[in-house]
Amino acid sequence: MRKPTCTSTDSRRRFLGRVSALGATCGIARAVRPLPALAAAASIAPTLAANVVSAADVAKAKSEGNVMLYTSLDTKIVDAIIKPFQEQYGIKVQYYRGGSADVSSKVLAEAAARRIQADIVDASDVGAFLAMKSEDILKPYDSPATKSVAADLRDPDNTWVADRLTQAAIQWNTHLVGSAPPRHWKDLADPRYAGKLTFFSSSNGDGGPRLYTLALAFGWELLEAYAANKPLRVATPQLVTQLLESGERAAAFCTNDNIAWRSKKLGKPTDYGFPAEGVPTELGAVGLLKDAPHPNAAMLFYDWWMGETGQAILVDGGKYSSRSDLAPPSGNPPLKELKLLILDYAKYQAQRSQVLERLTQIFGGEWGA
Amino acid sequence: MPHISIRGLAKRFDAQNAVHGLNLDIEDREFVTLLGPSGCGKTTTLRLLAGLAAPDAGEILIDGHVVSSPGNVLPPERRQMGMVFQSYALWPHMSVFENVAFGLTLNRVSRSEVRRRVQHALAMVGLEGLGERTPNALSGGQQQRVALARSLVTEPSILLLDEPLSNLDAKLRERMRIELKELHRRTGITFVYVRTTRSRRWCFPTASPS
Amino acid sequence: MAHAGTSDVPAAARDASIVVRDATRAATLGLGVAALLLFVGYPLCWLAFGALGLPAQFSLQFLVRAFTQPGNVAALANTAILALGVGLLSVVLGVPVAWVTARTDLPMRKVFHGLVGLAYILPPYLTSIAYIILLGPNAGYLNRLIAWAGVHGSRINIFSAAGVTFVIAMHVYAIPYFLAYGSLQSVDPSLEESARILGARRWTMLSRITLPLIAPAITGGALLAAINSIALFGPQAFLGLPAQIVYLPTRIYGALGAYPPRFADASALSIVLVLVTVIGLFVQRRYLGRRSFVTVGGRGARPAHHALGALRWPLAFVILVVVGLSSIAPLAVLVAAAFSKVWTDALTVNNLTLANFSAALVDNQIAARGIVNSFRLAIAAATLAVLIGLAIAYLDLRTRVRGRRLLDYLAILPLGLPGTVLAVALLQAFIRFPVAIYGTVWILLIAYVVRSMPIAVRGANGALRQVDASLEEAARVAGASWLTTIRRILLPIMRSNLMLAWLLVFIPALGELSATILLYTNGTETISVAIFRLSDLGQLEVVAALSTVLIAVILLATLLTQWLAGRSRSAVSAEATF
Repeated sequence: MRKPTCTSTDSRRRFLGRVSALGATCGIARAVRPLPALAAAASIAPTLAANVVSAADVAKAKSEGNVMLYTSLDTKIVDAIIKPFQEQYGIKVQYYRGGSADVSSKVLAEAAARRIQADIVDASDVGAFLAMKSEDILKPYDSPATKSVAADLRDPDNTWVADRLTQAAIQWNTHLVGSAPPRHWKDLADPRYAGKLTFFSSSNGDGGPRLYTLALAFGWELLEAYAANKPLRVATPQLVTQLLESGERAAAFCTNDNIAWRSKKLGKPTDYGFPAEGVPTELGAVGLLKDAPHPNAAMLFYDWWMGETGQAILVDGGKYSSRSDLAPPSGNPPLKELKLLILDYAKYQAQRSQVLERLTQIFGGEWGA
Repeated sequence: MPHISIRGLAKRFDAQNAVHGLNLDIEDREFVTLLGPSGCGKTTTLRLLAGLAAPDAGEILIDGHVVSSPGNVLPPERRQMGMVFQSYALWPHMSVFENVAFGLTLNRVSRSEVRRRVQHALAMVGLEGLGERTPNALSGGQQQRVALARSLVTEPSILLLDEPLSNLDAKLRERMRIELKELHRRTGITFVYVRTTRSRRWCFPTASPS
Repeated sequence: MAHAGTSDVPAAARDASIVVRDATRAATLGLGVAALLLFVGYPLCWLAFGALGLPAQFSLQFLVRAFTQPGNVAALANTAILALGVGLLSVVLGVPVAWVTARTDLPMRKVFHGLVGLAYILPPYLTSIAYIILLGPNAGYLNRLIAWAGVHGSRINIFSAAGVTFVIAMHVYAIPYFLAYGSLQSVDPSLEESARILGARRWTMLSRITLPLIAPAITGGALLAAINSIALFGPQAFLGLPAQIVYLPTRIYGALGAYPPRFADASALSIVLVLVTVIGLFVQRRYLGRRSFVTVGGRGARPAHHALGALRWPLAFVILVVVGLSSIAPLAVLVAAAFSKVWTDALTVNNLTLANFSAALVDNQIAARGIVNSFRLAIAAATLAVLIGLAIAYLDLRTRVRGRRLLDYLAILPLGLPGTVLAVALLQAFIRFPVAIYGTVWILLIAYVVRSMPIAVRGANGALRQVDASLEEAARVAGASWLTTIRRILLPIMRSNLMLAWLLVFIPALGELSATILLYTNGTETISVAIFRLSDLGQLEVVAALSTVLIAVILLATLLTQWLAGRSRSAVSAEATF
């Protein structure tokens, strides 16, 4: 897998201030604070605004004046996407931010009580959207802003489209493993990683899909081999990275690529890679609600969110956009160089309890089966 | 008309009769002692008189007005009686002065008037000068007298006393008994006094002039 | 010694101090009961309906599955063991430390008192993360220290059942501590003095007089600690999951996370938790029975302090280790990370920065608003909960209304429910309400009141138990109405214990996370929501910075409250004097 040209060992121990100097020499032009480019992107947004493609009636949207977004995306990114939109159109965007399960819980409960308060929903679990679609609360919308999103990254009926991709990467602690880092999935099955691995899934089985993807592509024996190495299972992907940073564990499989990206960027002793033989990817998706209180403003915001500006801000936050015409997060390989393994979500939903049962058998613990 | 009239009073607790069919007339300015061993119903009668409990049957009349009957009880705060509890029940967060003054402060009495009457009440029980002390700094006898002063300061027409002397030593008890009788004579208040004896002979309340 | 319960009046008669017909009293107490039924009873009904499969279709299969599925049975066993372990450990830790700080001349007593409070202030979901850093088996700081000190082969693994029990106990032991502390301070000294005069040595007096006297505080504290441990999902998830230990809340969380959420299964499992709570309360009430624990009867003396002699400093050292472990160690980890550029690097001058704080506060949209919201909600909820708790306690101890015991049970039920479950129940209950409650700040307030109710009610109950009814009776006879008696006699006497109960619910309310996440809306974000959002980024330093701010804020609020309470006590007495 292609490594970034600027080695992480240089920037690891420096002040964040010095990263910018190094970054300039390495061709990565970034400034001091965490997620620095968001401020930069926000300031150049107005000049790009003219390029926003939208099918919404702008006048009607403005008269509605408000949009309510339910999202599970990092709020720093959400804030950065909202700010130029508000400046551009004068439409206020309010949001609720929770986990994927929280978002879908709320939306489904509101729908059941006929008290829909959300206009537009974004969640990092397509399962949530399948559930919402089956309750018939999503509004189909073929947005012009989503032309560059591939067909296998969207709902055929246009009720939802993927807005971001999270890749399951391999991450490791450079002190402990730096000399011969794991490059392929089967590397981690090696006995020398016994007692040194970690991975995540909370008790509702949210780590299941990517593991299932690996099993489909490379066989369940791979997962069984991992289990034989007694990996430490933790509740959140952030904890995985934290354990690697402190050296509590040496390497992780199926970690979130954006979290690994940020950890390395901020000078922690970690690094990560995308195995060439295939990388499970998880889609985050966005969709409109049928009974939205502000339908026109919602459509306008949807087009902004999926538009070049909105998605570029997403990329600056370390996430891959689903749009094939945008650059990857800095230091990462472009999307087309990755062999993406996309899960058939409908199939997964149907087999969910069996899959989780099997994972329970292999890894033990609670998977929500 | 008798000052206090008790007719057919009955009270039960959990299927046990504490008071059963009590009839008693107490004249104005009388000193009545209810004697008897524990469990006799004396304190229950006192509490019924005070309005702290409701009778199951019978009535209590004060000056001819019914104040207690089953299902209809005049609240204690409207009976204008005084009561000295066995445990004295002095309020620990208030000074002696504040304890005694409490009843007066409820009635919009002027500050100077309050001060005068409290000093008078304290003098009556021989506790002048102790107004600023807190109850925990007093001896048992002094506490008892504060409780007495507190009940007297509102100039009630009826004073209920629930074994007020049982926690004092014999000598103090004797002295207090004399002082109580003296107080009764001087103020003309109707005293209803509860006392425990070991004798099984006195199983119902008895009126005995002091 | 003059004491309630003497003379010929049976206890039942003495309990019912005041006559039934009193309009103000009925109205006031009725209001408290109505609030309890609406806020706690109504949502729990939804939970019960959900467990029966309603509104979709009535079915007993969920309840049957909840009790019989092997995974659930194992989870129930683990949960019960956790609760018992935490209950025991909390009492073993909290009560002796309470006695030592309340009744002896131990040096630095006030410091220890504050440190126990600090342990209660630190939210368990934060201390879990800190303890992973301290006691992770491979890289934990303390483990490295042990290895460096040459003690080989003994690594403490925080990812274990013992680890979960320990971390939770290190937080909730404050409850039996504070309840016992308050109780010990109100015990009538003569009760112990009489034992001493009879020749009892210190140990005998402790075990046969003092401890039995504060039994409600001890058993109540143990019960609260044990049941509360069930609801603390953070340590269970962060420390138990890696150890493959499954607790009931973990199962519930698993059911709620499915698409669509398996509400019926989650409700059925929650009913199991409710039953555990009920059994716990039943056992405690049985044990306490009808015994009187009145200790405030008319003399306000403070109990004596024991001299510890040669044991003073060694004991102080031991307690410092225990108390220090629980509060200082995790806090130090968080503070160190908050000021670091890279938390895994050593804390050298090069590594120090304030950038995390600026990222947490200045750049953060909702941090400032979150602090304000948290305060308003916590103050309102704590006050409401204590008032309702007082009403319920009064009903329980001063009247003979039928069914009042049921209210006590109802009030404590929310204690064992994880915040997520409560939030789902409240969501279902109030989303269809004709009045707009869902989507506003009111549903958050209700959630906080509900979560505060158990401790508020038990705290008020314990406080009221200690006051003799004759104090109120004397006021009534002297001419005060019921309301005036409550205001000028009962409340001032109970002030410090009520304040304690208030703080015990105010502090967790400031850091409440799991229920808030589901019920908050734009504009009602709290500081915990801000922390939750920050933790997305996986940057421990910034999370630690905001957490440090939260802890500092709670600490200040607590100190301020105690100072104000101390001041107004003298103000009240001044008002009463002439």
